[in-house]
Amino acid sequence: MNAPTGDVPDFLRIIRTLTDHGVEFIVVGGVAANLFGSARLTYDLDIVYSRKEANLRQIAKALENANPYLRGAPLGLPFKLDLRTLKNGLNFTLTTDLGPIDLLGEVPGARSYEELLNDSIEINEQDLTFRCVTLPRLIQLKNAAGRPKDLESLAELRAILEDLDK
Amino acid sequence: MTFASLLCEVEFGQQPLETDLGEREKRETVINSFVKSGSPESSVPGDKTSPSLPLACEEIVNLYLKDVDRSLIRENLLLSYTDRLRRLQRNVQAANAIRGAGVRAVKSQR
Repeated sequence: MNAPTGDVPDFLRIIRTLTDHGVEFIVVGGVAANLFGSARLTYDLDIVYSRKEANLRQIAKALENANPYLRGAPLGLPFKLDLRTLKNGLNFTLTTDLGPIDLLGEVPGARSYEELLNDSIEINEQDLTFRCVTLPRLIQLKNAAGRPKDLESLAELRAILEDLDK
Repeated sequence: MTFASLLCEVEFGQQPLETDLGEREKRETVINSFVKSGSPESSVPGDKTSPSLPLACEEIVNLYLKDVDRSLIRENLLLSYTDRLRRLQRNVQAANAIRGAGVRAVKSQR
């Protein structure tokens, strides 16, 4: 396997890195849509993470070797993704050597990881176990975000839901 | 589409309709907010889970819905979850390569 460069997101490796460190998170956004069959491209992994201190520590540990940095920020800022940073922030859009990742403490349409937990499913495949938001809740989250760019994606997600209901 | 059917649709069976008075009141509040303002905002204080879209957006989504390529979706659904992510990754790689080629072509013409 080639060494990751961060140019192309390695979604599976990011997810595996997080699960290997016991991080509590739920996959949302475009990657979740793709897990349900969407054919739309997405370039980053969005996760909703638990804000418990122990979990913040694990996130920091999981990503420390992947050179996390603020996406779009000028190079050279004294940014370090550690417990303090995670405690002081909420949503982080990061670049890493494994690809871009958005760490979301909250998303429109859900207050927290804990609130979203009941609307998530466990995906267990090839020694990889992680949680993904359910399709109906993913649609709700996109509705709640209310972004024009999501409207086409919403149509696709509704089409998938229609097909699944048949 | 009526406001009620719109709200039914966005709830997607998360909770049965009219299960209790609280839910009904919440829905009616949202409907009223639509009627008054046409805004997507929920008027339920502290409610950050409003699943509603503005009516105009609903119409756009419905327009898109007609043209969704379901064959691509069905093809993806034949894959395992991890293979879906692998395919996504390959597609992103291909898109980046195409974008890079485009940028190089434009630069070479200057």
